[in-house]
Amino acid sequence: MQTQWTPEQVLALAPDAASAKNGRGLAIGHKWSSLGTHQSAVWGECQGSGKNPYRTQIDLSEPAFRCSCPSRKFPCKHGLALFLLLAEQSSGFAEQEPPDWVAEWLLSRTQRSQKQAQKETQPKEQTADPQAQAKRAAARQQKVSAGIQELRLWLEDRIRQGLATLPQESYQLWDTVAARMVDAQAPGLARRLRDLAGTVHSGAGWCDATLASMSQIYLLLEGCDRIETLPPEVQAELRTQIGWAISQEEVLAGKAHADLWLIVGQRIQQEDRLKVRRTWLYGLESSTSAMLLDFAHGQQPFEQTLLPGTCLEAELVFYPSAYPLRALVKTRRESVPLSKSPPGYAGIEDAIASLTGQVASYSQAYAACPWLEQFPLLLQAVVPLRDGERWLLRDAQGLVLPLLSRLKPQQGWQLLALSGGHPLTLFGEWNGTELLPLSVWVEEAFYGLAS
Amino acid sequence: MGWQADSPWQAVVSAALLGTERQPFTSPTAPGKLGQLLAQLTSHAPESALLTAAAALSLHQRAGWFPENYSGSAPAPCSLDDLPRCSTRAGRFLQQMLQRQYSPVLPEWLGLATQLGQRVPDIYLPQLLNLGQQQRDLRSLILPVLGQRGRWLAAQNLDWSYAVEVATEADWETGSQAARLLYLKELRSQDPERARELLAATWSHEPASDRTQFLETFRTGLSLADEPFLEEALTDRSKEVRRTAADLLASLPESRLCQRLAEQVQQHIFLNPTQVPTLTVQLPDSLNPALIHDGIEPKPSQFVATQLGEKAWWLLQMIGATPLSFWSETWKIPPAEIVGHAKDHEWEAVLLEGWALAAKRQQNADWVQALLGIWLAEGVVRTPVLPDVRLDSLLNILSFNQQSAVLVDLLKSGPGKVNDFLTLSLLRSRDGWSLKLAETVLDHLEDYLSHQNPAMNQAWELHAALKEFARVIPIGLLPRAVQLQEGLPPDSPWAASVREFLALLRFRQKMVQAFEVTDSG
Repeated sequence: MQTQWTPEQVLALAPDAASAKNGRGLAIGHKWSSLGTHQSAVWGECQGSGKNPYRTQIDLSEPAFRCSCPSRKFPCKHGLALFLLLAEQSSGFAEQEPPDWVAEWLLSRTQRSQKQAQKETQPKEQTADPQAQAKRAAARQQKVSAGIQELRLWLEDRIRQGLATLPQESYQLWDTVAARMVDAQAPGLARRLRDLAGTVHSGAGWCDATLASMSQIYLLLEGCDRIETLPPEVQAELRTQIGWAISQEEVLAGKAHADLWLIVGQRIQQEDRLKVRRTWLYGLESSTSAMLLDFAHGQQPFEQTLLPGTCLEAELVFYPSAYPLRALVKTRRESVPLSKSPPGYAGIEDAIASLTGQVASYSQAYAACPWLEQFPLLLQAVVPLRDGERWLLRDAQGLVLPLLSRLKPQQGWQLLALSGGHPLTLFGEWNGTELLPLSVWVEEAFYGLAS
Repeated sequence: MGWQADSPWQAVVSAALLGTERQPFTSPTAPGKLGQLLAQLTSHAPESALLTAAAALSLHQRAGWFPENYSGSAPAPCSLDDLPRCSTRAGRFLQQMLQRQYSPVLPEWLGLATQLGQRVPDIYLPQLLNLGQQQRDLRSLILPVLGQRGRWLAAQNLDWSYAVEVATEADWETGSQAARLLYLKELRSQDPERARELLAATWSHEPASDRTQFLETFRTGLSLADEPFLEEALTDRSKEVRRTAADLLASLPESRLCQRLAEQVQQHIFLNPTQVPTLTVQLPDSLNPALIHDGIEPKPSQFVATQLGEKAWWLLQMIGATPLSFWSETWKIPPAEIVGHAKDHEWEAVLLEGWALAAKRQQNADWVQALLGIWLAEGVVRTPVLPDVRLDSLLNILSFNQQSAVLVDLLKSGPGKVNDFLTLSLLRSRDGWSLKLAETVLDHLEDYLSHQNPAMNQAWELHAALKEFARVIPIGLLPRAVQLQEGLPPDSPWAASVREFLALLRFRQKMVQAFEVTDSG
């Protein structure tokens, strides 16, 4: 049975602070009865306010949760509490045959994943009428092309009039043109334009950043104009940047990369009612990075559970791109415990290059894909330090990277406390000028730095 | 990102700010392939040429970016020869309390870690140091568990300076008033002689308010060796300094001040050796300058004046500065008998409060027990004449076992009930209970909670007190405490409070267990 879970990882699964707190409160042995475990399943019964105890179970292979309580949160406090109990005192769980209510669920999960696998291996038989599809694509192409021409003229207008007065313009200037791009079915362009509104009002240095972003968009438009002359992966990149989403089926048809993927970092951002989660993976055999992007609405949980610091034995397929990072999970080992124990600090130490090596690969990536927004940096033997008001990372040669200037002080101090002035291994997102640290390894232990 | 001042990029930015309709755009020059690319742009429309040049230049800059060399100096790394960290599990309890769950138990956590010679896991240091910054009273508990790592970290943040290595003699010479005070305090606990010499050297130049504060440090390590200095201070310009000096001298029963007051006081209080001995009290008619010199204050405060006249106030202070041994040696009877004679006397308040003040100053456990014997037997709340001579502060003078014994007696044979105000306030002011006291309180609680509907006026007090009880009950009594819950009648109004009470006890029990495990096991 796996005992690799730590309470921090478990609590990171909580949908909100209240659930974490309540889960903690319930993670006490005497509140539970018939705690059991079999292969990758654990279960238990928790006495709640109702007459019958709630039946809670976890399939650790994902992990996936199920509970008979009426809570709409996911995982619910019972699921979290059961998981915490396992992480903290696994000796309380008796190895035994699962009771019916557990066995049924496990069976239904296995069947479901088999069906899914079947579906993926079967060629698509009932593809929609190819003629109609081509027609729809052509119509969209036309719309996008018109949008691109419109935006090109708009950008040139701005340059003709000069950028100096932009900070005095209202946000509406940007909203209007962004809305036009949404109409033109180019949401990727719309997002970049909305971001620009923030850049223009960002204070000192705004004009450099604004011109750089505008020229990036222009480069994108130029590329689209002669898209047919470009290599296929650049074509795909341009479509992605414009926001011409490629279907998951199409992505999954690509080449699969099997590896033991270490989850090196995760970041969840709230955009209005939408939660956006970036999970960064590092393939230990292939030494490649990958990023899984997930979305969840409102209180809804993310579909798959991905715990930073743990490993995922999976086949990934990359989205076609000039510099492939974003990927989808094609298959994931289900209901089977990991065959290898996840590597700790030493495993990572061996796998990654020095700061200069990482910078070199960043340069390559940027040259291949000028529109790259975050680059994963896995850094070996760097020392965090405080320099006036700045936080820096310094490597053995004395080279430094600045950390995010808006880093929460608490995070900076935690980094400093963990290192004590000694080198550590760190993972973060590099945006070309600043690094947002997401995780650290010190003395074999993994620490997620909550943002 | 560092753009150079007269770079091609700067030229493009300037042109973009101005706009191509005001000034035609000419593509900047650059060496190498970048220059070739820029040169090709002449055939483009000006706006297109500008945006394309900007795209090429910013991409060129970004892709060619290289980290800078650090020129500053970083602090030396922290020594790795440090206290062992507490177990991961124990650390998690700390984390929970730092997130304000069960935070009243934090002092116990810090105490346990200190006892075991362990330190806080590194990642929690910033939060703990912040907490110490906000809550002064936690600092002395936090300091021993920081380890080298914690002090190393604190040295880099001004907000955490309280946790950095102690003040030095240089601080005394040139530091801020707070640093000087800190240094003097520390020195006082290690080398009181040296501390006094340092202060004496600068005494006459210090401002009055600082002199009072410096003098307060004499409470640590106070001895007869301090007497000459304090006698001198009795003639100080500042009234506050004089008052503090008199108070300190009155805390030294062998001091000349105490002897002088004993001589005075024996002219006013007599024990008549009749068959039933009685006390005679003659209030002083006037206050001579010698007594004022020795710190007897002529005017009572407004609060004291509501209870005592002027002359009674003088006598009370004189008793308060008389060595307690004087009474038992003169009259050849023990303290309990002496205070018994004062009971129900016309001047009971003057006598008992005076002795209480002396007992507090002289830290005399026998007298405290004698006084508590009288005051607790009545079970009524006494209003102390002097606010710093409250029952709970008198109780603090006793040893831990004595304190618990007094409270057990109060509950078992005295008028004490677990829900009365006096008993509750004394129980709540203790930092720990003996096993016996905890058992006695649990017996009372069981009886009270299972049989009585809570009276409205006392209920709230007890609800709040239950949480504090859970902090001081020895955790070995957890099974006994669980019975409390089982004995509750259905729908008891106490159910929620008792549940919280038990939750806190269980939390403590698990916390103690967490210190017993090691990470490797």
